[in-house]
Amino acid sequence: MDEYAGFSYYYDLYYSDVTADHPFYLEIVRQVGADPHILELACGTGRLLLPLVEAGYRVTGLDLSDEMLARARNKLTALPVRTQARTRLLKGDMRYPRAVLGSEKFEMVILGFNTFQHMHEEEDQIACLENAREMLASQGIFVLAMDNSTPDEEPANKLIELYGVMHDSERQSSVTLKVITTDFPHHQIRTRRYMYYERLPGGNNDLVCNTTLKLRYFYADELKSLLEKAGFKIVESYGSYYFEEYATESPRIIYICQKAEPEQL
Amino acid sequence: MNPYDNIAEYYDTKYAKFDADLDFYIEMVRRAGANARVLELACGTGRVTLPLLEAGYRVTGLDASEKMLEIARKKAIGFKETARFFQADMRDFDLREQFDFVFIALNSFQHLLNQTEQIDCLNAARKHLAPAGLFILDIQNPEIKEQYPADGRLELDSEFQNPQNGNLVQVFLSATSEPSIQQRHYRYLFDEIEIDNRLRRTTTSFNLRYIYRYEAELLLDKSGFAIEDLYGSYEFDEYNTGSEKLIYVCRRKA
Repeated sequence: MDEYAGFSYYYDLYYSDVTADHPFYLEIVRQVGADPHILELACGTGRLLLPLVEAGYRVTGLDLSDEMLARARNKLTALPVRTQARTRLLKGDMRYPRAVLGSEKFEMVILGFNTFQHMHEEEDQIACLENAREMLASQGIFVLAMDNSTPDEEPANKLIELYGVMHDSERQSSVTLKVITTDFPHHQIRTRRYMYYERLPGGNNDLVCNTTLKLRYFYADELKSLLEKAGFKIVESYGSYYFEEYATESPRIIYICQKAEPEQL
Repeated sequence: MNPYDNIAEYYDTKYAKFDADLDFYIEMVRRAGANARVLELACGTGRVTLPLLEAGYRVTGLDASEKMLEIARKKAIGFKETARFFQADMRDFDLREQFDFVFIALNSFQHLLNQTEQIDCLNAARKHLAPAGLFILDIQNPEIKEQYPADGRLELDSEFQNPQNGNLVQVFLSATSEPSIQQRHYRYLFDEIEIDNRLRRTTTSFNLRYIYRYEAELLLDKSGFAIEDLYGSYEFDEYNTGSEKLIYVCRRKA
């Protein structure tokens, strides 16, 4: 299902400012070796993918949403032809990347931000992880990153949080994003309502775009077990994009993994 | 302008599913007698009036908002008994008849902001109550303050679909309080998102007076009522610390 249909414009406007993880991935990929081929699962509008190709890497991005891919493609056309030639943007499900990519292998597979949390069922989580492992070259690394949050910390309430006020120079509009957490306590799934209000120049009535995201939250050890079950060994773990050690109150959970068993030749 | 006039349709939909008090009123009317004549003050769009009509009672509803009554009248068609709805001020009305069951449901009494208004309303209610009739006053228990944040924060109160066009309607609420006069000021935004994503905002605001237990008892006494029961919930729980409601069951003093 395309959860982003209809609001990819607003999504892109808000998240284009989010760059905190860019230096992190650029540093990780630098350690991978010469001329690695990178696969980003659920690449969205190319927020992370484009900085990676601009840094000179070959990157393949997979996403389920036509709308998000169209935005990524649109941004790609503004880049030099040689940069475009290093980039592939493909429509595909992060649970079943081999349906699109066959037996192709990558030196680095990324599943970042909070994308993994869109999968609520263990069956889907495991399918995604096992396939990510299958897509790895023998010494390749898999990076899984997500938000760290526990139900006790953020009770659901009716309160509206102002996430941001953005300006779009092209449309001459200002967009306000308000968010409300409507449900959190059970099943480690948090329901959040994202409400975008766009004020067009001279307009009296805002345009409104509402979307609901349900994200599954993981505990660090739970996620570790899940990765091991899917055939990974954990090489490094971090609690932030600044290479800080993981602690309970860390903003992120980040695991850097390799295949548990070396390739049998 | 009456604060309910411009949001009458929204109000009707927003509260359409609120039925926590219906069993309570059906039971109380039953206690008032088989053929009880029923009068509801501040009946709105008939959320409680209509189930009583459906249960076979002769009902009369009174409300200050003509727009609210228009909706109630439309919904009252097709029942065995005929419902009557009058636009009137609950502080000052004279229907020239008496009823076996008179009530003011779900905090509507709190729209009256000072003691003169409250006493006027209670006196009018008593005059319309038959000698052996029952009167019910249902208000919030102001002691449980945490349930009603009044620090001006904006909350998403509820969401529903406009039944006429399927549009999403989001209700936002912000409340502030003025403790020295026991009033809260409520501001509601009804945001309807139209088919082209355009926001259509309708706003309303009003003050509600909150009333403490013994204050209410003195008011009722002063207006000629004898309190028979005080419940703290629609489930007939006795009023106690932490009760959500103050529900007075009264008769005319001898």
